[in-house]
Amino acid sequence: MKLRTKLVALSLLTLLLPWSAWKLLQELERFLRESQQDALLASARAMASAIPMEFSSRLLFLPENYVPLWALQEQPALDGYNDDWPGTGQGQEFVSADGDLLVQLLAGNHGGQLFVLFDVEDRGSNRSTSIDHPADSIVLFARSPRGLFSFTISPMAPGPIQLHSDRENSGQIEGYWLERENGYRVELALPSSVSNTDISFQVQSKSGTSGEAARVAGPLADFDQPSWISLEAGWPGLSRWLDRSEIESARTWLIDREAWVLADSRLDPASEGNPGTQRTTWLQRLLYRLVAGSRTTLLENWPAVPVRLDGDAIKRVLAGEEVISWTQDLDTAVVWNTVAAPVELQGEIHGAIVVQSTSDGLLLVTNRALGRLLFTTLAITFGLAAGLWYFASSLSRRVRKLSNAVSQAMQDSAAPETLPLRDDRDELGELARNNQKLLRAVADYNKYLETLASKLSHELKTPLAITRSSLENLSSKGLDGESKQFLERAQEGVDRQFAIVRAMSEASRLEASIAVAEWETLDLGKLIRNCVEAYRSVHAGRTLLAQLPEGETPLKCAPDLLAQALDKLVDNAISLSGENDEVTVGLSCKETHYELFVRNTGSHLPGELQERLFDSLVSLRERPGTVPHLGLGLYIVRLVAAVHDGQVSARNLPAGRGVEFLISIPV
Amino acid sequence: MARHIAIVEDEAAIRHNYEDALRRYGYQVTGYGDKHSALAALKRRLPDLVIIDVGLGDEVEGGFELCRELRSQSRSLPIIFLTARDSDLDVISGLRLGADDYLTKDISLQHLVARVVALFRRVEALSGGALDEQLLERGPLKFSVERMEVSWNDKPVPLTVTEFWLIHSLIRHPGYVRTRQQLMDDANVLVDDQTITSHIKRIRRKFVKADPHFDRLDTVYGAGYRWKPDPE
Repeated sequence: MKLRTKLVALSLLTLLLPWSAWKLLQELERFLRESQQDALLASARAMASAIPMEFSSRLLFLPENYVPLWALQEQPALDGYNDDWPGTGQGQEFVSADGDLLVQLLAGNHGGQLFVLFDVEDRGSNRSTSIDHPADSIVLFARSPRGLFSFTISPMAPGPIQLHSDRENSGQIEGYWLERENGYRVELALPSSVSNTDISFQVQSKSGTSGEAARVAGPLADFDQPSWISLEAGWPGLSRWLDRSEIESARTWLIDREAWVLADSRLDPASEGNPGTQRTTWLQRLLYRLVAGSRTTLLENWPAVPVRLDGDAIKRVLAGEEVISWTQDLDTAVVWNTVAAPVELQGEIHGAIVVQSTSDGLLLVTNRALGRLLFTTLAITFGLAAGLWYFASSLSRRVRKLSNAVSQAMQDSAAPETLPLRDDRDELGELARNNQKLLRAVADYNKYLETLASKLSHELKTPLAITRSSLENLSSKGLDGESKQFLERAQEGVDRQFAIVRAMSEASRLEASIAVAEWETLDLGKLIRNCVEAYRSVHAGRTLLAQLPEGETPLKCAPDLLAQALDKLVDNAISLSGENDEVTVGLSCKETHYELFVRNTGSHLPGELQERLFDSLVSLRERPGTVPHLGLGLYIVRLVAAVHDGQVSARNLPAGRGVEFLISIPV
Repeated sequence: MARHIAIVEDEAAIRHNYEDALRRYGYQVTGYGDKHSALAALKRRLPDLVIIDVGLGDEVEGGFELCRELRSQSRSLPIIFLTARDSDLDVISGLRLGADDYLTKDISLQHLVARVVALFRRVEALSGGALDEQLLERGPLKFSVERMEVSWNDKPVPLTVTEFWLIHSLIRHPGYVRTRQQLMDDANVLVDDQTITSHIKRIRRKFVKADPHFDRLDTVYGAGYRWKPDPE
């Protein structure tokens, strides 16, 4: 892993920031929520225990069987459709014994007239409307201070109904019979006055042609002793009371034990706009779900004017439990907080207060906070990552620069003074300075090695001269035979020492002669050919080949020095290979440079030290020769190549074909 | 009367050895260990030949200074430089101090004596005027073996004894390549190729000074040198 990648990975840690912010917001949202629901529950509790006497007593003495009588806002059209009724599908239900005949009853009043809606679902029979034998009928009893009336509704065909009571002078009712899938709907307008009217009815479904009532539903089992359903008119007084004690932006209901809505604080639902009209973007809703998701169920939609509340929460509150629930409408993003407190009268639960509050604000506050937080932290994260990226890049660039420069300096023995970053004040600068010291020490050491030979040779020359001149003086004294023999041996030894000393100082003398070298432009090929011919005469008996290109190969060079380098390479090749091995001296022209090579078969470069082969005092010879070898020859070759801006290299030829030494000189 | 040779050499052992060797050959020899005593003694009475070490004690180039002093007293005094350092040879030639020869310390005593003899011969020839003068002529080159004098287009070319023998070896067979080893043998020196190369260069420079178009001394790379024969 590179430095840069590491630091950027590290910067990812800042992503913990939005995560912790999210956690924090959840806490905040929970806190807001709890305070809201606590307040709501407290007021619901207070309302439940402070219902005015007149209403609580009414609640205590509710009739056994009743259907709430709704105050209809408009007179419903007698057409059998239920869309002008509130609380559709929430009427009192009556079921036949076998459960196949289902009747829902809704009652309402408008302008002193009583309206009743029977919604019948007959799943049991294969219904067919026959004109001769009506299959379905409804028997309706109505009891009011004006007397008892009974009607039998059994039309020949669907459509408007107009019929009179079975008894005389009982008035007439109007209605409408509408067939629907698997049943029918009957809407009736009763003439009776609104208050104090009880009704009872029986819905009959006749299957087949037997004429007997096959299935009946409704409270009117016994025609002589009907069980009556009271029509309880709404409690507008209680509704007003609820309205007064209502909490801001909350809606309160009082429900009875059967979950019928007895009072609704929103007396005029049409006048108040939908609290959730404020539209939010999908992003905001998504953000809110991120924060509150697990604690908010999606909305179970209650009708605008509920007649009967249902749901799990209502069941639990009527069992005596205080209930809190949160719901959210996905489309409008309104959050509903519903709390319910049971109403206990004389030790028994007689109903419940249900308060529902909408919390646009909660959503918006958390959304805004979360949005800003997310934006800020993400911006910080990206900024930090970018900053770290830049920092890491520049750091790794500097490190790479330094390391390149160091390896360059080690390879080419370039001056360590050229190291970059030396003036930087940080740790890298320190590293560069220390590297510089190290390289300087290495360079000094190399320099010392390079000059060691010539210094040594200089120091050795004087004592050697003493020895030699003494021996020579000695030899002129008439010595006996044995002494002469010793003297000769000593002189031989001194001669060899002189040879060594001369070889040692060769490199330094070369350096001196480089300064005064004569440069001329000549044909390199011709120079090499001359040299090879000379080598052949010197090394008679050895195979010396020349591989030279066609045509002229002009080069401005110091021919003395080049010839000397070639001498060294050929000497090297000759001495390293056996009597029968070939030595090839050649030249090849490349586009930008000449390659002067000396190859020989029958030897092999050891792997180690190859890079240092051309350094001073480095010798890789495996077998000691008769001539002293100091490892200066290839160093001289390198010096000569360097004078020509060239480079030297050595390699083993493939397939064990020997060794190649190469001098490449730019044209 | 025996010729008087002065040796100025700070290394006592070498000095004594040289003194003994030269005495054996019949010369009168005086040795000096430093510049000042040598200068003081030599000013009183000039010897016939001086051998000077370049480095004298702490004075790295004390020999050069001594040479200058002596040369100012006598233009004809033969002077031989001895040096342990190869680089000195180039310095000497650069300074043109007028030494008659310069040798490195690894020279054998026989070679040293040969040089001394040759130098005395040259001095003798110059002053006495030898009778049977052997003169070699190679075109513009006139070469007097006895006097050890060389001239090019009748202009004298001041060669040291070593240089003289090197040229002598080359012009005996014009057109033939003489290897460095052969040159060394002929010139009675035992040095390495590198030193021969610088000797040749110095000779060439001296001829070029006499004639800017001089090109007879030819390098045969890898082999040696030859004297180009006269164009016919």
